[in-house]
Amino acid sequence: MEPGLEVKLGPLQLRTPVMPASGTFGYGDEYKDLIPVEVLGAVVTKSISLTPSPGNPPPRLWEVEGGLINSIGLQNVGIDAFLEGKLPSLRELGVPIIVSFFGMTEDEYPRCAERLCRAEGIAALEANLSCPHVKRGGMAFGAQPEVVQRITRAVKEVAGLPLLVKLPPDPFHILEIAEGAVYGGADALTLANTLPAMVVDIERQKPSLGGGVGGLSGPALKPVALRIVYEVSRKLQVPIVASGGIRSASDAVEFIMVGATALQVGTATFADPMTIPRVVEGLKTFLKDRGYDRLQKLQGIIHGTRMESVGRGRKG
Amino acid sequence: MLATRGTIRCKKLLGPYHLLEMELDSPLERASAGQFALLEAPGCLLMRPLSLFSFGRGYVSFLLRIAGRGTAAIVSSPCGSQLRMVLPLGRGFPPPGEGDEVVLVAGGVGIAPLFPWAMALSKRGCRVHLLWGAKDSSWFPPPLIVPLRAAGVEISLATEDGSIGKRGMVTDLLGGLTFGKPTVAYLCGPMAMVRRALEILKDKNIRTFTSLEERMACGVGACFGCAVKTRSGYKLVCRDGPVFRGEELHGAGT
Repeated sequence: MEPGLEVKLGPLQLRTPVMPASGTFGYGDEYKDLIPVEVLGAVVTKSISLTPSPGNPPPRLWEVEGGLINSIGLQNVGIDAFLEGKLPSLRELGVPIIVSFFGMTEDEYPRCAERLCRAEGIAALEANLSCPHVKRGGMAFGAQPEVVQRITRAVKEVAGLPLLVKLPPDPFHILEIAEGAVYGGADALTLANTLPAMVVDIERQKPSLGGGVGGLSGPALKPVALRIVYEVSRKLQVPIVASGGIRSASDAVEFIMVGATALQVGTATFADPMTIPRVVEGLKTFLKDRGYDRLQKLQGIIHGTRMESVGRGRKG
Repeated sequence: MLATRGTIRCKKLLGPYHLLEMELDSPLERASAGQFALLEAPGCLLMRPLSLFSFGRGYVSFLLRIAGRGTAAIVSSPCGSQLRMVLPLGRGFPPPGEGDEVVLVAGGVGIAPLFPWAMALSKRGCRVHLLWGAKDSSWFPPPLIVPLRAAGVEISLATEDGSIGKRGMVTDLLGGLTFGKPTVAYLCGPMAMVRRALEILKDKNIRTFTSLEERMACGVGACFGCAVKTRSGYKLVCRDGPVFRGEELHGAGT
């Protein structure tokens, strides 16, 4: 018998635990010729905002040892064009659609979420809290626990959909930040976004990326993300969607063992578009070879206890 | 679009270029000149975008120069290596109008996408004039020149050192042309060459198309990484290009 890969993220039921990370899968149809949709637990869209955003000047990408730094600058078509032009074809994929969104200001978050909730065919929202907060000198919304809590609560008040909150990978404050999201009412956390990073062109004596700074993703991030998921899942009872350098089924199993419920694959899809199907297949083989009938039996196994119940707040 | 593997069957050094011939694991149903592939660069995270140089159902070849870590890793892969690839990607060159004359302007390795286009157009009976500029005569190896001439392509060369053809830049050749009939120009080369060529062709009522390159990750329009500035905002080289209309780029500060 095939081992079961179904997982639940709060109220959201997924047939596999693997989904693309926001910003690496466009608006869903770019990869449809290559990747069989059956392997996808969900599709997570590129982050959208109330108004279109042109993005940063090129170059926007820089490969570094063990990773990729991107400075896309949250380029997106804006909510109107998304709802009219992108959502209809997304719905036809037959996979739960998780729409990632962000605001330029705090109050744009609930405004954007409210409009998304009125549209048909969206399974859940993912609030991207890693974008710079202009009023606070560009510090990410997600860097401040009280802001995270306020935004999460404001979104939950208007949004009738399950809410994932995606946080920056701040290894020293992740617990407070994650608590902010949980107290605000997040149904799940996505841990974590890219790590702020840069490259310098020593000949031209300026940053190599057009946007100056960017976010690091890829294999270099995996051990950091792993420890973040470990730390949060040890202390808080909330489903975690792990994201950070996952390239293989064994990477995925590591994240499940430290407590993740589901997984996002991002940069690895660029290295090999067949990464997600490979990870899903590899998870089945891993479970089968070891006699597990379902993935959830491995979840959080490293903590000594399984965490199948989903509650809110700190663990006793 | 196909995600497959290719096996390196033959590697040749042609002057300053590397020619890499690969056999495909899965058949390539259709592709056109100007489209590109993403090719695995062993030891690197991202695949590298390379113009299709020649292609058929079971094979593809690339003409490239070493530009960094990725292209160096590709070129140093031994024959028999299997590399992941995704192809064909992007939009190729749009065809010329009925009876149009065709001018191709290549700078150095910019010949890579223009070579199959010149061959395809000649086969269709188009009159094709190739202007090709580079540093010196070693940049025009016979294995590239001979098949073009045999196909009936008219070739004018320019070299910086004057070792063959006109001494100077390829755009000097372009500046010396007179255009009697309706003409389409296809360009590929360094941005300085492209900008100068577009300047020369401006106001001459000539349609222009340019193949661009940019650092790339997904190759399919999903990551928004390979943006270039155009008159109508940022466009993606992988999805909107790599071939762009000249007037989109003119004065856009690309």
